Amino acid sequence: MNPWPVARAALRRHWRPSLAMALLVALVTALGTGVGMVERSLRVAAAQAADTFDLVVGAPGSAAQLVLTSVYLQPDTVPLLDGAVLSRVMADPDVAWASPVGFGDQFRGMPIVGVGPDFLTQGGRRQAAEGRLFATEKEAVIGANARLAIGDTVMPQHGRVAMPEAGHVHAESPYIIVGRLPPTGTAWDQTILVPIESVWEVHGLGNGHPAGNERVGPPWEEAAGVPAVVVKPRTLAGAYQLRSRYRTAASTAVFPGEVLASLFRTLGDVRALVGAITTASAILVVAAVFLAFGALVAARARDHAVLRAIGASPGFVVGALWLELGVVLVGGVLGGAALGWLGALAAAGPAGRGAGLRLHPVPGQPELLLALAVLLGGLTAAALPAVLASRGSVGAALKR
Amino acid sequence: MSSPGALQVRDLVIRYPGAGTIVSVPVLDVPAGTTVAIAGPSGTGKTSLLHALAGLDRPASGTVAWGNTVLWSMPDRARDAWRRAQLGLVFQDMHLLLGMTALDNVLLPALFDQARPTPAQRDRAAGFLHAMGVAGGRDVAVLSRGERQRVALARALLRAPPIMLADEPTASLDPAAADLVANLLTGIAATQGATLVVTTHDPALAGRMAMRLQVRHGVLEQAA
Repeated sequence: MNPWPVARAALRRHWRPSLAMALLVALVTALGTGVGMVERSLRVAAAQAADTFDLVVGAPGSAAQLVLTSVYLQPDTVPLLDGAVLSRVMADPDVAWASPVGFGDQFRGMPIVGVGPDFLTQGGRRQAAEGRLFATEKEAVIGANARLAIGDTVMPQHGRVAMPEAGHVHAESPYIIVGRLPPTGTAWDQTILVPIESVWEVHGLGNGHPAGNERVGPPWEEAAGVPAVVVKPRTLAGAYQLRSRYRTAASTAVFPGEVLASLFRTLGDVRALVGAITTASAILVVAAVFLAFGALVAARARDHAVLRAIGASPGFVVGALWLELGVVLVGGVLGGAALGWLGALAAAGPAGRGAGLRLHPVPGQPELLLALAVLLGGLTAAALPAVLASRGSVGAALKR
Repeated sequence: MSSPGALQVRDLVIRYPGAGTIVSVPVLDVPAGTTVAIAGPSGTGKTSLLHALAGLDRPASGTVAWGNTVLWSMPDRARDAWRRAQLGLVFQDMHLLLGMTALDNVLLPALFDQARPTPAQRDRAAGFLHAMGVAGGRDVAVLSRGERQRVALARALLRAPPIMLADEPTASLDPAAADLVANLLTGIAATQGATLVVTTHDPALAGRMAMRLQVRHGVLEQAA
């Protein structure tokens, strides 16, 4: 038995309604898969961005705010952590390395962030991709995607990136770009990294060292306040001890992963809502396909009766109809998956820029399952009209 | 055991739903290999009678037996299989599948139980179309009515069935085309030894059949 030529002929004859059904299926598949891919890539990128931030210590307050400002560089005002706590953290035996993170200035929309040398090298594990790391208070290193070049001069302007009222220019404290870091796929790729000493100094807080000492890097004998301290613990057990140790009246300590988990739970609710909407859309589309296909089948009852009359079995007629709809559904699902992927790639740029993340949406198991669900749902929905078309009085259908 | 092309009808009554008797056949015996014409004006139930003989429309009562096969006492699936194996059917409106070529339409019955036509079936189909003067590669949508009727005839003949039923096969054809179709039908039936039953109101076609029947006052009887 080979009903394919009959299905192919029907597709040729009725290409307009077939194409319309395929487009309908493609749109719902694209919507479902595209949204899923963007949402998942956002979670993956957010988790990857937090990977290098094992523990963040800040002033007491909102843990989410501390993580969002220090890890994702979201513009917000955070209370300063006392310089004495920074010194204590730097000297803590459970700390492999730590770096203050100080922000508040920007240049051409790029945040200028003060850090220690260990932050640049990630404790000796990272080198400059281009040029070298800063060695004096007047030197700066840029993130991989910063729109600047080595040798450029940077004039810090007070204020954060998303604050257009940013005003005062620290004309007396220009930086020279001496190096570029490798890409991380995070908001840090767009930053200008300068020695924390210069940030303190620009804001009239000294340079963290005794007068006359111009060196860069710890120890900071006279550390001023900072928004956050990024900490690399020596051990996992040490990480928990550090978190506990710095949760005091003077400071708070958080694992960014904890905050992310909480954010993802909230995101999960949104995802469930989007998932429900997508499922409802898929059911509506399958119902529409069922009705459209049913009408198409009913309009061709005589063709099917002819097939039966000249010797085709009911199975042959069902097979021809299923193949016909199968082509429509497979075409719609594959086209929709491709469209969804393209849409996700197009949406990844704007969606990632908002969070300072580089998103890589790729289809995964959920998208495959959604595509299969639409395909199987459609084929199941088509079973009834297909089976009905193969039943009934052949003679009566021939007289229509 | 009776030949599969031998027809025996007893007390057959055909009614439309909600209507009285349309046509009845008290007794009809047709030996295998006979050519039969069923004549009568339009609307006298000739097509319904042919459908009952083909196992397509269940009659109100009576029996139709082809050889040892009693059509209306067997399940649908078995009747489908019988039609597939024994019957060649030509419709008045041809009922070809649009979107397919003439050759593909002729080969269609081969696909009902095979993945693809055999080379012999392809040769046979192409031979029929060549003999009938129809280009096999053309889409049936662009063929003339006469050409389509010949394609429908070739489709019915593909499997060399022992029974051929044709409903008004020359209706609305021009005289030349009607003559060609009539020649093909009778010639192939004679060559294959098939039983041929045609419904017609064309006296010329009816005159070429060995047995001529007529529906008169709702009863099938021997034509005068």
